Amino acid sequence: MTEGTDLVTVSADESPVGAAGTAPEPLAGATPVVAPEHAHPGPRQYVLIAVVLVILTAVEVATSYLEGSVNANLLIVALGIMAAVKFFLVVAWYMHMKQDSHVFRRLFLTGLILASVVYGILLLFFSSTVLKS
Amino acid sequence: MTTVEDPPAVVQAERRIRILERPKATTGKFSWVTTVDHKKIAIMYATLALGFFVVGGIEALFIRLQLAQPDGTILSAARYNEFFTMHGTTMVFLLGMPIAAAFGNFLVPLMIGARDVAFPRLNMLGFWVFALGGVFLYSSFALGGAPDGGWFGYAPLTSTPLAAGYLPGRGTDFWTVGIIMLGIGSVATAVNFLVTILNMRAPGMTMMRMPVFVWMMLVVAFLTLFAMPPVTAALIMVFMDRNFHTNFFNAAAGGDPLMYQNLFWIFGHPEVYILILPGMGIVSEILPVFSRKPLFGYSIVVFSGIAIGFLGWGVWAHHMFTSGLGPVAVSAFGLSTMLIAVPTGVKIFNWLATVWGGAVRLRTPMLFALGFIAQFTVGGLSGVMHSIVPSDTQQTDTYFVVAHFHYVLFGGLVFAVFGGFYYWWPKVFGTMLNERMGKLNFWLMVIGFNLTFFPMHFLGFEGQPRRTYTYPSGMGWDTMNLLATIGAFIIATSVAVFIVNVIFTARRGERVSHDPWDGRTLEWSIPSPPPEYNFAVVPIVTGIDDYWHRKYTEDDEGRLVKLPAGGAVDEAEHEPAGFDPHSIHMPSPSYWPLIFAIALPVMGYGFVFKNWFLLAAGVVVAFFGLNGWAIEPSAEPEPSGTEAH
Amino acid sequence: MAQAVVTAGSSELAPDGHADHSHDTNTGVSNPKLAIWLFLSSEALFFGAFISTYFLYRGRDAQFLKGPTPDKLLNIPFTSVTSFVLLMSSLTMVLALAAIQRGDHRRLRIWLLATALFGATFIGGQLYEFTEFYRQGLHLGTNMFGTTFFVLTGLHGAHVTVGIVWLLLVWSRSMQGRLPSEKSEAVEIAGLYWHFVDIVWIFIFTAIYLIPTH
Repeated sequence: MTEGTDLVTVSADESPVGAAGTAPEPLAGATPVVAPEHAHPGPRQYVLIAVVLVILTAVEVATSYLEGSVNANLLIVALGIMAAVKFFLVVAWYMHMKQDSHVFRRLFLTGLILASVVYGILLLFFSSTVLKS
Repeated sequence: MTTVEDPPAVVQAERRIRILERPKATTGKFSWVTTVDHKKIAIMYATLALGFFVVGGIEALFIRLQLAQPDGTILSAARYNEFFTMHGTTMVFLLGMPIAAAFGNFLVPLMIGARDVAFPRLNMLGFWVFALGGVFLYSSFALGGAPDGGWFGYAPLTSTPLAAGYLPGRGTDFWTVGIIMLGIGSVATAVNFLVTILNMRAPGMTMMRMPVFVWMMLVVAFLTLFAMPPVTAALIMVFMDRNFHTNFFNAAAGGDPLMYQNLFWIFGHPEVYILILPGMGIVSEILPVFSRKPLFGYSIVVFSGIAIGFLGWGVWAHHMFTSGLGPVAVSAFGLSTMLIAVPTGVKIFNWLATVWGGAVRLRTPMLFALGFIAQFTVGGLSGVMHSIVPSDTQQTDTYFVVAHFHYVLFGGLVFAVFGGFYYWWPKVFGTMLNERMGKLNFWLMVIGFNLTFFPMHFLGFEGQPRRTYTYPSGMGWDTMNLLATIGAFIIATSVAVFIVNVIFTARRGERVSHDPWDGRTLEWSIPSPPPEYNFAVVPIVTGIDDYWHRKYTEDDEGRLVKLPAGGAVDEAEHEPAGFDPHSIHMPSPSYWPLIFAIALPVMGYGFVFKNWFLLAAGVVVAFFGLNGWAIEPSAEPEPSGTEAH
Repeated sequence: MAQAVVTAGSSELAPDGHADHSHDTNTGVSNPKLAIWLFLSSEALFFGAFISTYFLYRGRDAQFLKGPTPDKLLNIPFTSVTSFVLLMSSLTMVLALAAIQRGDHRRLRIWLLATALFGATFIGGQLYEFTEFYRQGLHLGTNMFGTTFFVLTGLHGAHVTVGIVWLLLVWSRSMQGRLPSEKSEAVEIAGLYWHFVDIVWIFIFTAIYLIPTH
């Protein structure tokens, strides 16, 4: 095993997870535990995130069946927020954006914000408020 | 952690029988095909882009001949459509973008003190996609008609199903597939430049010490990265509409042709800055050297470039003022268009202030740079006129617009490119282009350019429409059109002078030292032409214009004092004692990017002719190429087995 | 296609010939990882174009009554299951990465295969859905829903397919013993692409299947 350093880091970021599971941590709550010192989270957090994702998806699908009985705009906003939360969870934990260099965050956010603003304006073009005023 | 498996032994040497032995040669004619050296790739980019410049220029000459007199008969209407479409497409995608890649490839690593780009093979891929994509586009002339829907390819003209016969022939399909293909190459190149500039700078070369040209290439790379996807999407939709009966832009089924215009110009306007910013970067390098003054307001020039890059995303609809966007959208985009003139104007004043009071040497590169400023300003002013919506409505689709963007792109970009050729030629080849021919080249181009395009302002005001293959006499357009045609041939003469100059210089060019212009940036600190590894010792940078400050200091009264010879200046000529070039381990040549690049036109022909066998063959070749690429290390281990680490 | 280009770049070394140690770079991040993030941000604008086109045209069929409408076609329970499978493939992907980072190559291969298999299941579901819609009379040109639905989900499916091939290539490299732990970044980069394709689906799923049409 040449990569001794790898082993050290892995065990270093696994031990606090184990601690979080047994000993009461001040910050441990419903939200997934963030490993301190920006180390990569371990499989335990990954599974926890997956559980949250599955629950959210189930809620999403259930929400979509409320069509007709709830205000449609409210429904769209709720669904949009849930999709955004799922997006955030995958990007932050599975794609390690929380732990990784801020360079990635800035670059990816640039693309996302640019896409949202440009395509948002584009769709506004076609909305009746812009066309008719 | 006791259950951890040992990692499998790393296979040191490739044991399998290889289908393709890795190329080794770095000299000789064939080495150009497999080279990953950024400098060789740059030379190939420039050569091919100039070739396409000549081809696009010949198309323009035919257009001008046709329009020289009323009721011209040199081109048929159909042929005229093909020629103006291919002229525009060629100049934007096969000259403008690749020539920026040429300068960027050669200069970015040298200016930031790197030994190559971040991904040498991706770089090679970018070139070959451009080369084969260009050939693919031009093969349409022989394979069922060239593109004839304009370089913007507006739907629903282009998107109406082939069978309806609006644009018969395969030209539009070649155009959509070809531009998507070139876009793939451009994005690959952009990613490469971005990683190179962000990650591979020499020690001390902070962002705010980078030459302005590098900054402009960084902005251009971002613009390319984000601008190509929208147009790719739009082109996919056009292709689907045309060939597979989708309704994206079919108003009869609920589609909206305006969506195409939006998607196209979301790409199209940043594209304008993709074309011009490298030119601005080149000029920002030339002016200080020939004025013997630092660039006035370096950080302002840099931030203006970034501001242009940002604002460039918010002005696309000014290409569509007459398409019925409604008053709110039109006013907003009119305002943003006025706004973008501010950073552009700031740059112009910075350039003027750089020249002001300098010890100006009017050598050919400087002449072209000054020509850039003057003519770009004219084009910029006619551009601001378009932000006034009523005025724009009058000018839309007239020759006024043609005059405007040729002042920006020819008077601007092409002049900067020629200035760049004259300026960096000694660095690339170690010889100086002939100065007298250079001046002739410049003056012919200035006269020819202004004679061609200035009259077009008047033609536009008098209502001559663009993209129309002829006009009757008696409209008052005859004289101006004839002048424009004469001007076009003067431009052609000046390009011919340049080509003669290149041949002459190649035969008996004067060999010059590594720093003939008394340059300021790092590329002048190394031998000409640069060795494969660029820098024998990676430089340590201490400020803007680092190389200049290694040569000069200032006395108490602010006058320049040359530092005694020896020291840093002579480093270029004499490599450090005991330096062995073989100790620098450079990336090895490769076939795989070329194989992948060949797969793209094969797939392209498959799409255009709906030949699923060709398409499948292309996919297989692409997979083969990528797989080989992924397995092959960037640099082969040293033959002796001693890794140079 | 372009994404594959970046993959291939992932095995690139820094051009000075030294192995690609991330601390050698100015930003402190490795070149291939920077490249894949740049590429993904570019892809955001690609899918953004198709998603906004979908939103622009959704519901427009009312005026052009032709062919089956989405509320009659969409099988939400079925697609919820395939979406769930794709979501789970992101979990297996990140577990694969965690495995190679701690040197567990057996688990790496298992998780990689599981990810590819989940992806293939998703594609299988998509193919079933496409043929089912086609059988019910929805073609590319039938109405605006047919146009936008098939092209948007089809392009996403093409991305997933590229991802599956990519994962299988990584897996076969590992099987040949050519993916030691110090090259875990090859897995990480394939994973970033995979997760990105997954988050695009999160939005497509909401946009097409969950948000009411009328």
